[in-house]
Formats: sequence, C-alpha cells, structure tokens
Amino acid sequence: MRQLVIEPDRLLRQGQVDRQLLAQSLLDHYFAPVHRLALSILADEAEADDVAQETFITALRRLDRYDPQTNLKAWLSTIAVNLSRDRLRRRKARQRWSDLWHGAQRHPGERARDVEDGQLARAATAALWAAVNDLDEKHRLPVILRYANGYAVREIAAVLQVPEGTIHSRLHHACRKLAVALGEPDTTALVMELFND
Amino acid sequence: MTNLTHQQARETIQQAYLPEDEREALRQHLADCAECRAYAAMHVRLHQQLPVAGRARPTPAQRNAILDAAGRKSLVNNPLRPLVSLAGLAALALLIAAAWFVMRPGPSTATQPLPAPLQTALAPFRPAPTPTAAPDPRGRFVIESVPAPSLAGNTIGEPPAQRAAVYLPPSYDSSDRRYPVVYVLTYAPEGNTNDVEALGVAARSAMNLALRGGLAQEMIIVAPDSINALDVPTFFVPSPVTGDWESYLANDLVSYIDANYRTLPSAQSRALLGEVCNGLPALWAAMHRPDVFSAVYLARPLLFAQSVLDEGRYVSPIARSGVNDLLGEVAARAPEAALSHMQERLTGSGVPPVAQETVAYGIAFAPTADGAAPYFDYLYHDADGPADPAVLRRWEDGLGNVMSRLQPGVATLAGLSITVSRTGAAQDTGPAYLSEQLTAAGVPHRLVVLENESFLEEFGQEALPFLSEALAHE
Repeated sequence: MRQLVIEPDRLLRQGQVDRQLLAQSLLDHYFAPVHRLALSILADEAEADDVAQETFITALRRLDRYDPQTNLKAWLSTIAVNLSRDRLRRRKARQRWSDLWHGAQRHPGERARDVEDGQLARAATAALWAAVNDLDEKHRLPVILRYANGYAVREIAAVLQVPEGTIHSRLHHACRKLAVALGEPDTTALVMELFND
Repeated sequence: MTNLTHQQARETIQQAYLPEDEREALRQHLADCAECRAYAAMHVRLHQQLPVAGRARPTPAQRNAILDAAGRKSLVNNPLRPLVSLAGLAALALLIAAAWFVMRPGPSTATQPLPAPLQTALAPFRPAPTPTAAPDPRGRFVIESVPAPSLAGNTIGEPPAQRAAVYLPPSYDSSDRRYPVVYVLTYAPEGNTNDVEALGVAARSAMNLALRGGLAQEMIIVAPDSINALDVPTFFVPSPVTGDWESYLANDLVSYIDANYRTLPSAQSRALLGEVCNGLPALWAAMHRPDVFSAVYLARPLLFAQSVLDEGRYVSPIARSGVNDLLGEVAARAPEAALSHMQERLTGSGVPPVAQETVAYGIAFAPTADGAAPYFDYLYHDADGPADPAVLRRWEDGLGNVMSRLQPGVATLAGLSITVSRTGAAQDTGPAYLSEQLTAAGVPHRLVVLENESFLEEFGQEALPFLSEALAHE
C-alpha cells in the first residue's frame, strides 16, 4: 500500500506550516515512538495513551518554541518524558496518601482483581523490569530511553538536556546497580561471542 | 588502538556500529576487564529483554482529538521563519501536489484550503479502523476532563479542568436506560495503583462484585481526582487556597455528568460515598446540598470525637517540628518561589508523613485569609508554645465539632450509613462517636462494624448495595 510521506521536519523548515498537515505528518512519523516511550516509563497503557495524545497536542500548541534546526524527535520526546514524569509524580503522591490514610488496614497484596496484564510484562522479563523500575529516576530514564526505546546516547542527552558524558556515566552506574540487584550470572562467553562476530 | 580506558570501552559498547579496529580493541579490553565485561553483559541483556511494543498508531479518538487541537484554520506562520521564501512555498506546494496525486482516491469536490480534502484523500489509505471491541460484560469506564469553574481563583495553580473516572454499567451501551449515580470520594483504592484510572478499575470491580451477588442494581459511578496541585488531598471543602471543591463536586461535576451521560438527574438518584478523610466532607456536601444528593455512605470516616489537640494527629512533636521547619523555609523565600518550594518538599521525602498530613489538613481547613504562601495557619508558632486559640477554633471546625455543624438537611437524607473497622487505628473512635451523637439527635442512620478491611469488598458488598437501595431507579 502506498503511503503519504511528508516528513514533519521538512514541513517545519518551510516558512509557513499548515497545522492539519503537520499534525497528520507528526502522527504518522512519531506516534509509535512517543507512545512506546510513555509506555516504557509508565508501564500503563491507558496512561501511555493519554501522554501520547497530550504530547502531540502540547507540541502543536508550542510550535513557536521549536527550533527547526534541532532534532524534532528529541523535542517531542522531551515533552513526552516531562508529561510522563508528571504522571509518575501524581501517581506517587496518590500512593503516598493512600498508604498514609489506610496504613496497615489494607491487606498488603490487595489489588483490583481484574487489572489487565500489560504488554510490558510480555515484552520483557518481570525481574529485569522490576530492577529497572527500582532505579532512581536519573538512572532509570537513560536506561529506558536507551534500551526500551533504542535511543542513541546522543539523543538521550538531547532529550534529558544533560551532557553525553553524563548519560554514559549514568548508564554505567545503572548497569552496575542492575547487576547487583539481579545477581547477574557470568555471561563472559555470551559477550565475547557477540563482540567477536 | 588496543589500550582502551574503561570509559572508552563503555562508550565503544554504546556505539551502534563498530569498525573492525575498534571491535578488536574492545575485545581485547573485555578479555582483561571483568567490570567492563559485566557492563557489556548487562548491555546485551537489556538490549534483548527491555524493548517494549507500544501502540503503532493512534486510535481514531486520539487522532481526532489531536487534529482538532491542531485547529482547522489555514496556514500559520512559523515565527522562527518570519520571511517565507518563495522557493520554500513552491517546494511545499510541489510536495503537497505530489502527495495529492499519489493519494488521490478519485474525483473529489474538495477545494482549497488543502487540509480537509487531504484528510478525505488520506482516508482510503489509512489502516482500517480498529474494529469495535465487543462490549465488556463488566461495563466500562472512561476518564473525563471536567471543567471546574468553581476552582477558579485558587492560589496554587489548580488546573481549570479536573480528571474523573466515570464507570458505566454493563447495560449502558445496549439500552436507553437512565441510571442513578454514585459519586465516590477516595484516593487509591487498590493500595498500589495508577492515578484516576485505578479509580475506574475499582469502580468496575466493585459494581461487578455487587451485581454478581445480586446485591445492587446497575448504577453509574463517578470518582473524581482528589489530589490537588500541591500533591495533597483536597478534602472536597471550600478553601481560598485550593478553590471551592465542594461546589466543584455539587455543581461542576454533577452538571457535567448529567449533561454527558444518561443519568437520572435528580437528588433522589444521586449519592456520595466518602472514604476516611473524605467521609465527613461527603456528609457536609450532602447536608449543604439536599437539592443535589440524597444518600451518603461514610466508609470509616476520619473525625475528631474530642479536640484536635486531644486526638494528637496533627500536634505530635514530629508533626510540629516538620511543619514549623517547612513554614520557616517558605518564610525565607520570595513569595513567587514559595509555591514551587512547597510542591517540591511535599512531593519529596523530606517532610515526615504526619507533617504532610498536617499541611494537607491546614490548607483545607485553616487556609490563610489571602490564600498566599504558606497557604495555611498552623496551631503553633514555635516548638514549645501553646496553640493559638483563634487558629485552634478553625482546626477544630475541620473534622471536629461535628454536632455543632449539623444542619437540617442531614435528617432528610434517604440513606446514611457509617462504617467502622473492628481492628482499625485511632480514627476508628470517630465513627462510633458520630453514630452515638446522631442517635441522640434523632437522625436516622446505620452503623456497620466491618470484619473485613478490604475497601474493594466494602465498596462492592456494603456501599453499593446500601446506596442502590436508598436511591431511586428508573
């Protein structure tokens, strides 16, 4: 099937932008990566749907702040990461208040019985994700951007607006913490094989 | 290139493509360096196991919402390129024309401007819409963004629209029936959940628990977000700091739900369920607005049987020092920096939980007169002195002094139920006290002692059956 391909970057480099055409183009090119990014941070499809939608609406409202000479994907990703962070903050607040008011009255394992399993559980091992989600935010986000979403270190630096060296350092520390948390077995042979190919 | 440093080795591992010489250098380094080998091993594992598969394309509803937000108007200037080059416009025109040619579905009556016809033209080439899913036999919930004019004028940046979960029962989509509505004021009823969506899941679980047991008729359940912009509970009361949450509940939210869903739009078919610290505020709202609500269920309500001071919750040494520390920090800052500092401190882990509770209570019930930072008046001005009498009266009037605040509306409720946990904490002295006082005042109600402390089960097996009985159905 033939597809209409008008790159949004190209549209934005024009002097004037047709917003409908631009919105269509943004969705065609970037909806999937933005949704994946939100899902990987939030681990909740409904919230990822909301964040993805908010990201594009926010981007369209803030077009005047976008510099067409910079990276559009990084710009959208920054919006998505910030919206996701806000969701996490609200989630933590709600959790904290629930714990405070109810305290020990709740059965520790009480959850809705019909919470659906997310795609996340199917996409990665629970143990690895649990360890990743236990990292603090400054280490967790680079790991998620790098490995769950395939961003290059340079792109992560642009999204999180920190130097590349800092991202390398955070990935290094994150990997060490994950190895400790997971009791990583010696995979020397695997590594040597991969890097010898 | 053979002697890589550790840092160079790690940066090399992160490269997407390795030239042969770099690969060899890395191999040599890894052979000798256990730490970088472990890094590489985790790198490989993460690469293999962490990728997730999100949604490949927006749902039709998402696409429409985003395209609507883009606006239907024609061209807008990109301010970063104020001067439009003719070449640029020509290129755009060519691009659109080429796309139009490729995508054209046949004769079209479309005319300029392009966006609308382009949408039409795109339609045949878009992926087929996701087939409509079979109706969920459990019913479904949606997350609404509800305009909240009653919160206008708040001083903490509370947004003008608030989220709420709206649960629609199983027969909603296959009938023209109208339903009573239960408004649920709670936080995270799952104990480990995600924002307002969790409220929708809980409502669905509870309604199905009730329906499976034949305990209640189908009802719509509405659960508004109850955490305010300072990340603390709102208590659903009027406050110059957070806005008039009681009016948001009784006016904005109820009007919105009645306008957008098939409700039975009368007080006889509306109830409030308030849990713990939202219990008494639910009773106040019903009492103040008998024209809107006719039944109330108070799930283990928090209230002070005696004085706030005697109860001790907000005056313990930890609460006192934590609150005064925070107030000192805010006082040392410029007014414009106070809000962000409060948000940061209340969101973070630096303020003891009991002090956070105290701040939440103060903002709701003892707000500063002008609504300005630090947003509330605390009982104590220092670590050792007595409570300020004027401030104390306001704190007592929050969730204390219950009987002096009762109004006639409470006696005309079609249903009033109060629950208490058999094995609860200090808050459980309140419900029994309230029941005793209501009995003495001749106010009809019931008090239920709960053996099971699961709120979901209470919601489905106690609250919904009671409210279903109390409300008028079609």
